[in-house]
Amino acid sequence: MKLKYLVLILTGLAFGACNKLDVAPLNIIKDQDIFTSETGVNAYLASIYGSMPIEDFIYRPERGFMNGDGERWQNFMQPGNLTGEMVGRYNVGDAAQGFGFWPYDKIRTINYMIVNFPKYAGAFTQDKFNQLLGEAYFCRAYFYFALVKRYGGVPIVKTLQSYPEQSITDLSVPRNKEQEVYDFIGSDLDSAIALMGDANIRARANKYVAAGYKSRAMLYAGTIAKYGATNYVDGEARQKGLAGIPADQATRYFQAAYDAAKLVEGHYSLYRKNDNKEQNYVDLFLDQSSPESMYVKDYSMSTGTAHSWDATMTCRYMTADGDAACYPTLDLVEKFTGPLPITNPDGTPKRFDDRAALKQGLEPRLLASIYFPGATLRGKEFDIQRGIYKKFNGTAAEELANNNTSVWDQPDNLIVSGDINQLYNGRRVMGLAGMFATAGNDSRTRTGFYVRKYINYKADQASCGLYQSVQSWIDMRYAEVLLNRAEAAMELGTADKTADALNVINQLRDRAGAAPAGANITIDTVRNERMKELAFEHHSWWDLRRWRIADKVLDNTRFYGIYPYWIENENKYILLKQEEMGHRSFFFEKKWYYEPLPGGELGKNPNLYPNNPGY
Amino acid sequence: MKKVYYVLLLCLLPLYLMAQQVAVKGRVTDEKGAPVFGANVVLENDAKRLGGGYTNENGEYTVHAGSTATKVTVSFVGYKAETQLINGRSTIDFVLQLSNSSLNDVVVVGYGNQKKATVAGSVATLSAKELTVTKNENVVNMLSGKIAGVRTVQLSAEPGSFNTQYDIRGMGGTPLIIIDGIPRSSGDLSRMNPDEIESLSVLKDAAAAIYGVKSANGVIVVTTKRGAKNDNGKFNLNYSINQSWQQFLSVPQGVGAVDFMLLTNERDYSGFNNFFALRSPTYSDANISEYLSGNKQGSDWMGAITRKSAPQTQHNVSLNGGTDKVRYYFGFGYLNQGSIFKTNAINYDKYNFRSNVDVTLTKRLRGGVNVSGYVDNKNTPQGRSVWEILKYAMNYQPTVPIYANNNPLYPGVTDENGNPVALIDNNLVGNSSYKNKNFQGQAYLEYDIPGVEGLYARGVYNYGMGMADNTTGKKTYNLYLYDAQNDLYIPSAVNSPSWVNRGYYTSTTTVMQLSLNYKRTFAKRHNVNAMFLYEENHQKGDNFQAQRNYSLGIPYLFAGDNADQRGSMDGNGLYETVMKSLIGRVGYDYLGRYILEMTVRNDGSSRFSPAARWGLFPAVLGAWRISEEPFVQRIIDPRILSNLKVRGSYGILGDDANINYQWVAGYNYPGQGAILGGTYVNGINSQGVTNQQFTWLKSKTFNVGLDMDLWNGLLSGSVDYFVRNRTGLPAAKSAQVPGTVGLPLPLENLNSDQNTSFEIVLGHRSKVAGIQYNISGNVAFTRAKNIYVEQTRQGNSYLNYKNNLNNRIANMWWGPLYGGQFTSYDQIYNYPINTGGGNQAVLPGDYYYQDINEDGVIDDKDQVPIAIRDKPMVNFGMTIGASWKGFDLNVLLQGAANFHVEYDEQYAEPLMFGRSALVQFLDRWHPADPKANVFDPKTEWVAGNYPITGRPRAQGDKAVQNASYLRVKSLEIGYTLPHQLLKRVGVQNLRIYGNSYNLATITGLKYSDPEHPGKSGGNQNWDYGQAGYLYPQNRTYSVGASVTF
Repeated sequence: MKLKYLVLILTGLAFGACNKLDVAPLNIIKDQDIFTSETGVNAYLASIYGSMPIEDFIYRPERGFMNGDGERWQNFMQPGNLTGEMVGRYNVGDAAQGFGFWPYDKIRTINYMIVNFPKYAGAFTQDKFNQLLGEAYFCRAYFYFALVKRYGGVPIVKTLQSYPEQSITDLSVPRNKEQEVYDFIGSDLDSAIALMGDANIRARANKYVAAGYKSRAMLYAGTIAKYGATNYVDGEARQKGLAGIPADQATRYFQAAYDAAKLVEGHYSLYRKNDNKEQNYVDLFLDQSSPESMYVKDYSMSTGTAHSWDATMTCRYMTADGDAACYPTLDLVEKFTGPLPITNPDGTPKRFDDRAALKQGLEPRLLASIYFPGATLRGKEFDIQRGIYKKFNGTAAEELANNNTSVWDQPDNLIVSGDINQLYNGRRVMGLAGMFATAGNDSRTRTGFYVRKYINYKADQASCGLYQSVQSWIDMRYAEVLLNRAEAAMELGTADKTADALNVINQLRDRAGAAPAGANITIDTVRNERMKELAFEHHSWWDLRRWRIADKVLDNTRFYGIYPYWIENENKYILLKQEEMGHRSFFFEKKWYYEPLPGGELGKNPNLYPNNPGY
Repeated sequence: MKKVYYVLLLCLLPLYLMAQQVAVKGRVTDEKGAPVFGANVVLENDAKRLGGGYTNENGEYTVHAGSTATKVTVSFVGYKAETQLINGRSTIDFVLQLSNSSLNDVVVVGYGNQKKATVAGSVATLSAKELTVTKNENVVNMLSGKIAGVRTVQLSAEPGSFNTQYDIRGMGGTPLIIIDGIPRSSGDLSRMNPDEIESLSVLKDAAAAIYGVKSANGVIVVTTKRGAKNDNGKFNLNYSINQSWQQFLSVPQGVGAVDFMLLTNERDYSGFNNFFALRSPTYSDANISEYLSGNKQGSDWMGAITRKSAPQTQHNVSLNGGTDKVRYYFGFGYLNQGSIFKTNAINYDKYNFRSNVDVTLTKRLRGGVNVSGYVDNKNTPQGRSVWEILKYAMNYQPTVPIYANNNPLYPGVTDENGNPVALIDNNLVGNSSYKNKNFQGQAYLEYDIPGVEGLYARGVYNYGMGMADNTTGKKTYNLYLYDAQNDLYIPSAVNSPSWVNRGYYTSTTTVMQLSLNYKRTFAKRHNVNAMFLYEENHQKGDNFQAQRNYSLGIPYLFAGDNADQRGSMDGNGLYETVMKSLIGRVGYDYLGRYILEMTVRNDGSSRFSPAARWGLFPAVLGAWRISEEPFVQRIIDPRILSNLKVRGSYGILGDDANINYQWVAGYNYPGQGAILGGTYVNGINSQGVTNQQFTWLKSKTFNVGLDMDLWNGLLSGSVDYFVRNRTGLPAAKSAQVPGTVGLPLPLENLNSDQNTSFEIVLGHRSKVAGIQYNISGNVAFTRAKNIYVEQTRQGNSYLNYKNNLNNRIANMWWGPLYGGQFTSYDQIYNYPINTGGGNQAVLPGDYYYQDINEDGVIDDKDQVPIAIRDKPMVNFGMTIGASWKGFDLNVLLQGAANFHVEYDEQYAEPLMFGRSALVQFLDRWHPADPKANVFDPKTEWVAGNYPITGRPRAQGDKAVQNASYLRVKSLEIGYTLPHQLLKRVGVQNLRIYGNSYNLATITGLKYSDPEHPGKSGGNQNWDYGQAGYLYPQNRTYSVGASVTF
């Protein structure tokens, strides 16, 4: 009787005692599940593609590739903001100080596939296997290129190192020469070209994509060899070839760049779907089926990867949220046009009935890249006006001296305001789209311009908020391959190559709606074309660096905008060329041609020394 | 030991010889007539204590002494000492009365309870009454200031956020929470109904080791109320209500429009743009005069969204009673808390219930069922997080209109769409509701095993489940831009797209405990208790969520759009862990005088590899009640020294730090992927290197303490010294393995640290003029030190000096030392040290710092340690209670010292992000003429607290603020109505009271609540208060009543 209760207690409760301690984790899978099926390999590659160091909308030169970062909406903290292509409220900072970029974890992931995937080759057809393996080579080259263009020579790791089996001393690998890294990139891309097919799958590489990147990487190597030989900061790293490439290598690299670019010919083409050249150029960046896009990065709302380009490149008046904080400069505009026709020969400002009249006759590619005062977006006009002159009698230059001093000392005949509700005789003082900054926090232009490239004009205003833009980033387009080809050709300098360069440049100019170049083109013609064609695509910062001209172009340089004013007594507009409102002075220290190696890595591995010159 | 007595006796011998031999005998019993064994009997005269002895098993004693003896005193632990005059009697009997000393209190310790007098560990206990004198929605806040070594920092009073950080003895991590024997979460403790808590114990030293792998940060053990047998089966019905009004502390004030414009212009002027040109100011005279003249009104953003007070209500009903066979407690509680926002945008409801039933089945068999749970719901607006709403309200310019054209129908467009008046309107921006449901069901049986006296078996099975059921929804709404030229309101749809997200998280925990318990006294002297327990703990978690945009205005998933719909789950919320434990305890004490206890626990956890799965956690605790020793009692009268106990403990405790599966190789799926070929492909990530040896960190604790009671409670106190050394703190070798290896490295048991703490508790209770009162105070000093930290080698010896963490006090805060403010141009011109830019841009009022290394430049190398950041190092509290007739008063003071914080963002500088400023920044250096050229040496200045607007914010020890404070944490005045009066209306007891929480604070910290500052220092910018934008602290005034029928 009594024992019964004891048994009852023990058995009654013991049913819980069947739990085992060997509980497997619920979300872990194993090697053979991955490398034996295409789905598995695709997932493996997706984790690599998803973290590729692509300098897309969300890239920041001082913070890096901001996937998943809460501040990745700040598209205006971008490299264009370092070169004077754009200027902004915020200084991106000493961008060349780097952000500790050291993606060897991803490189190991790729190496692991290159080493181990062949064991499972039998599970695939030869073509499929080659394609997938080729993508791994492509990705590895992409990562090393992102490293070498920042640091110069870095350690080339292509085997699978192991820890704790190998000692920390063994694992402390030294830097390779810059030239060795470029050659390694070249050879990986050659493997990729040899292995991959020509099927064109969005956001993945094929043979010609690899060739396109080879043209880019080899062009970089060539220009660094050529121009780095004369403009450099000396130091141990330079003498050891860790930062710098011998000048005699230049031709070899230019030839490789040229050949790689030629390889792409016929497989991609310039976008020419619309006969209206301005609209055609706008659509080029938005049309998902563009034959010009070679390698893109896609975004979507449902995966939380959407970016904020629309919300942060034009003013709040046009969008649902955001903060336009960098604006194209007049200096960039003048690369297309020369001095804008805003001043009469006598120095007085030209009178306009309508601000939009300024756009008359400008190159379609320029108008497709930049919104001018009076342009329209989503049914709204870019109402850009700096203020009202009651009357205006002098020359632009004279007036500027007054205008630029102080609001307190403004000439009596000028009215400005930071408040869009402020009226003067019933007329708005400041335009709805600018330009004035209230105490540093305003989404309105400070140069009189806004970026148009990549702006999704079809999106309705309500959906132009932060993290709501899904237009693809075109990381490589055929136009760049053509420009790489033209530049390499000019650098090679033979007559047939120069002719080819001219041919290429005029293909681009024709598409742009610009006048064709004459036969006397120079390297500057090609470079200038590149700056125009690839504006806001994050090339200018690297181009200024590899041409080794950044320290001259950005030598306490200030940039300009155009300021529209309304003249009350004449009922006309004038546009004055004035320094951009931030009055920022841009500079570039010579040592910035190379970034310092990450400090933490130097601490862990003393064999990485010497650091780059000047650090 | 006996030798000591002999020596003492020898000393007394001369007296003894002089005296005539007399003998007194008698019997000592307690109130119930039971013999008291081991009571101390002392013979004495007016001047001296002459001799004595002890009662035997029957309570009988015989003592001998000289004829001069006039009195006999009997003392026994837990009873009042009693003295009788001999008056020639030879037989004197005593009946001892229980003393009201806390030594009789029963203290809940791990898997059992003990009398406080015989507790050997460092254990502190709060009774229900002590707990509930603080009226707060969060049980954790109710601990504040009451227990030495428990430190709390309440970061916010946001309803439903329960945002209080707390730990024991500065140990850092959250303690293990045990409620009715079952491990529970910190959130469950916070959400308990305080009305159903019987007692709460804090195990601060090796006493916690019995909880094994989870015990390293100490343990809080909560016991709930149970039914008590009532005469003739009656029950008590208790109802209480508490109605509070919350006021909000440290709600900052922004400057008005004119001041804002002047500060902005001042910043423009003071910006050192070039050598020659003053920058143009943003606002003209005309702009300013519009506000000065009243033509335009500045916006008061904070005023537009906040109210002065918000209500809070609590109701509790409980039923309690029973018979010999069945005893029951049933409690039900409801809480509603409103928020600072005018729209009550955040509000919180909570329901608690509990039913504890105990049944005596047969003479030997007992059992019971406990069922409890809570359901709560927090509503918040879904536009932005609360700190953002408050940030915008703090920093939006007063020149920006709240409403377009000041028309309240049209909220205006603002930067970042952060218009606070829209954001606090849940109907506009969408409402999110966060619901938690928790259920616990527990059954137990106890059986007295026949044949062995004092041995019983006990089995407990507990099933617990928790659910978080969240509906978050965002709604598109319009903000408006006013086009004055055309008198148009231009709408702008924001917060798009509208979506609804449903998230559902479940967790279940089953705990089973089987134990054999033994408790017996041998020969009335040897108290033995033992326990052997087997425990199994099985936890599972799962979750999913789904989201759809909706275009039709029906915020439910079924009505959502197909495009962009998503469904997923949180991988971290999917888990299953099993733990098995064997626990043993043996306790022995001799007459409550020598106390020894040993515990051991063997834990196995599925988190670790089979090779490192099982861990052994032993502890030993001992105490010596010196006051019970005869020789001591002969020296010091037991009526003076009623208790003196030294205790010590040592134990090894564990902590698995919630780290899972370092030992399993493979890939994590899904990881970050990419959109390939137009569709998203999930990525897959290698786990990297495994570590088969990874196991819990080990925490060795050592504690010595001393407890003392004097003059029967007139003065009591205790002192504790505690050291904890932890080894095997998880860290990865990645600080030393070159990154080029590229391997994700597993955690290893590498780091170590040390915590020390010192605590003093003092108490006093007495009765003066019919007023009973008690005062008790506690203070705890803590210190945390890193012993070894896995770190990367530093580049040079200076950096090593600065950054090396090994063998250093943890959380060192570095910065420059403040020198002063420049007061004149002359001082600047003659200043030998370059503060940056050759001092060209320096102005009167600017801060300067000390050139510590005397290299003529102020830079990073001038930084020195200036404070210890993070939570306060010294915590103290004081309780004062008094009662007189029906009135009672209770005051709780609580505070912290050696506590440093730093302001951030809006609190640290004016016009941050180009927005507005808080009023304190008006007290600044500025030129007497606002338009004067600040770089002109002839300019006349007005001195102030801050530098001129636009200068860098303070750094180093100028920025680091001493946030030491003392609060009147709670104050309660109550009145219990006379019983005679109440009897007529059938009421047993009725008490009414008024209470205040956070009534007053004394602190040197300006402009902010000390628990609610900007940042806690170093790189941990957001640890405290989101730069001061976190929902503020509150002060509540309450009235309430509690009635028992």
